[in-house]
Amino acid sequence: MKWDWNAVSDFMPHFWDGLLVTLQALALGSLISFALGLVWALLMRTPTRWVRWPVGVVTEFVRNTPLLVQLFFLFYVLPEWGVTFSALTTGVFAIGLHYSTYTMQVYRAGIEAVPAGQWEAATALNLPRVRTWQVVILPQAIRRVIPALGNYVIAMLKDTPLLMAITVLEMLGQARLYSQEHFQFTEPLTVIGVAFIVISCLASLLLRALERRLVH
Amino acid sequence: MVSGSRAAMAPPLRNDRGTNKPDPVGGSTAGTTRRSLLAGVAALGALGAAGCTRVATASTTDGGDLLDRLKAAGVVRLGIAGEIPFGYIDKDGELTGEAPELARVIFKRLGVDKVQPVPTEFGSLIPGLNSQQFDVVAAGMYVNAERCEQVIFADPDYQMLDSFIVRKGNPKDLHNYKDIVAKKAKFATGTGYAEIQYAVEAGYKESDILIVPDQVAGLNAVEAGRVDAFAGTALTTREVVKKSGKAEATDAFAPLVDGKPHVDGGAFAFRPTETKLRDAFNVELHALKKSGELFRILRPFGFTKAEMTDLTAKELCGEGVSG
Amino acid sequence: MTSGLWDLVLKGIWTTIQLLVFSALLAAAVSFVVGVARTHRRWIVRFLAGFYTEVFRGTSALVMIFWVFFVLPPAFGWQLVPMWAGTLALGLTYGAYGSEIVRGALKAVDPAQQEGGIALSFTPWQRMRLILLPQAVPEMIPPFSNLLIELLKGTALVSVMGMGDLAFSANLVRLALQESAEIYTYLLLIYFVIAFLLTRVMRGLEKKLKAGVGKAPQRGVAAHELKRAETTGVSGGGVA
Repeated sequence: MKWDWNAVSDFMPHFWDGLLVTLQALALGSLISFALGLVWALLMRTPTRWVRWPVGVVTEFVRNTPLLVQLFFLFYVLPEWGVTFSALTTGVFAIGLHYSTYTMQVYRAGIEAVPAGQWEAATALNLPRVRTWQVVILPQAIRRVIPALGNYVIAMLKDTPLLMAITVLEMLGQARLYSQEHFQFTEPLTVIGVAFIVISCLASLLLRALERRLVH
Repeated sequence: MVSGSRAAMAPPLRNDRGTNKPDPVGGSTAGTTRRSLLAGVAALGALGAAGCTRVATASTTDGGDLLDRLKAAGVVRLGIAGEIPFGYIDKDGELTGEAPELARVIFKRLGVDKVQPVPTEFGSLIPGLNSQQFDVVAAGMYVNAERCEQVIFADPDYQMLDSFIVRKGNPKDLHNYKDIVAKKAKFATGTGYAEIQYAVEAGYKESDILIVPDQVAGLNAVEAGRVDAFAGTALTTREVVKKSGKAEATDAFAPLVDGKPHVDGGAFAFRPTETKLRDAFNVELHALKKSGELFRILRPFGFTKAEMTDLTAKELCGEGVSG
Repeated sequence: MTSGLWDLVLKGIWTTIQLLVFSALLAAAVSFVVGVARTHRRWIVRFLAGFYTEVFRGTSALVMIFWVFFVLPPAFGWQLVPMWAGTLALGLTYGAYGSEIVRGALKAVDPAQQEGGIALSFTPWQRMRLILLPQAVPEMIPPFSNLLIELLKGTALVSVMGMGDLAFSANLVRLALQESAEIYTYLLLIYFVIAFLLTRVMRGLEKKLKAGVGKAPQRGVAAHELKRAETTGVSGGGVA
């Protein structure tokens, strides 16, 4: 196998462009999934069936269908209904929505793991409901689940290449574009493959350090 | 993710179980999983051995033996890119288009009766051809110097100019690549399209070009306002805007290559080692051109006399490259 | 949508199912081999297995698919038929996740069981085969079931390569009809139905295997805790 270092150096500027888009998509997608996941988790705790059932069905549906197909759906079908966003926005929203169904489970586990004594103490102290959530329950719940959320951030990183299917030029999209013009795929693809592994490993190390600090 | 503190108790003794079935030591469960695991691996191995997992990429006979192999197999796989009218699957799920229809006729004359479509993305046609996912590219691919370094082309079966898809009324008044650059319009084209180079040569910044997977995505991008123009062949744009109320196709124009107006020719592509097949194909192609049957085959797809050509692949590949 | 187009979709469903089954088998094989290797006595075996796991868990499945399709041919001189290329890429990637599940489940078996096996002069292989695996496997089923659904979603990635699976067939329909709403809605529903059926099958398998080791499904808070911990990786803090 011939390896052309020139191809690597030619590709590097495109690589940095792609990396920037990848990290943007990851950051925004994570934020959306954290926020939306919390919303779903709280909605699932409402007493009325009429809220729990639709939320449950929708999240099950989103969780069990491929992200790629959801991306295509949002990218091709929404404009047919008159709603158009940029490709990156669509992609970020799709990733955020898809992973919010996972973070919802994580939040749910965290909330349920808060000892019942905490709820009882809050009632005894006459704290209103919202305040109980704000000050007592959520801080404990979220602290506990940060490692699990971190794992999903890493998973989201590895799903960002799907965005190339809806014309977003993140790392894989850049590699493919380069290969179609210069007919050399090996070098750019290996570069971004290694980049993903390195970033994932760094992120897991960071996560483990975070976990050690947070979880006593 | 299994919680470690839930220690598993030893399996209860046989006579404590409520079921009637006696379980041998180790359990039918271990047997099931181990046996099914081994069976699975064995099946995988057998399938691998039986089902030809790999194909050699280099052909050994001089000139290539693909034609003989195709004749023996009775079917040729055509790589198409879902582009109306060149090679596509129509709304009844049937393979059709100018290239597949032409291929049907020519391959029949060469002794291969059936054609099988292998649809893929335009940008994956050349890699797919070279990695043997199909035998011929039948997508009306333009012949140019870069592509000639990767594949060999038959002589073009048609010639074509470019055109843009723009919003109805052509609000930005875009008629060629110079307009796009001058008005700083948002521009899109398809993966691996020759139009990318035309725009770059006219002065458009390559990283600003939106690359979409196919012409329908390009139409959608124009309709949705994500871009101002999508570039494709004149026939493609004409066909695809037929179903759209919000977009139209501009008049056909010749892109400038090296400053001179350039007419493209679209042709069938073969792997570089398959010169015998390509030459046999050319013989039949020229016969069809002479007899006028080529035009008859292409006309239903919107081709007119203006698209008929005598260009050769050698010319379009440029000097210094064996066409 | 005409019947001709539905034929395309059905062909796509068949390709997807084939790809799913093959890559699931490969992933299962890899999971067990690598997962067991992670608990080996020898340091070098554990290290190699760990290295494999880190590399393949860190890589993106789509990048791996492209790599197998485009880099392997020029590198090694032969090209895998698309079905096998996809199987290899997906099987190796998801096998790395599976190996973590296997390792975790093996570790979760009560050490007393291991010791009992050693006391009874079982060889390591006998210990693994007769004591550890039968108890570990039923614990593995719920996480494996989740992984199988992830693998189903992963099979859709081959459509980006142009391989003719279910997602790609929807692409062809979109090009033929120039409208996307109908086909992509059907697509989502079809994937959901397949995922639903898979989950049911795996749940049935779990029940059968658990009954085999005397752990028929329990009721009550404890079992709920168990299920929750397994599916989310969060261990319960204080339980009231």
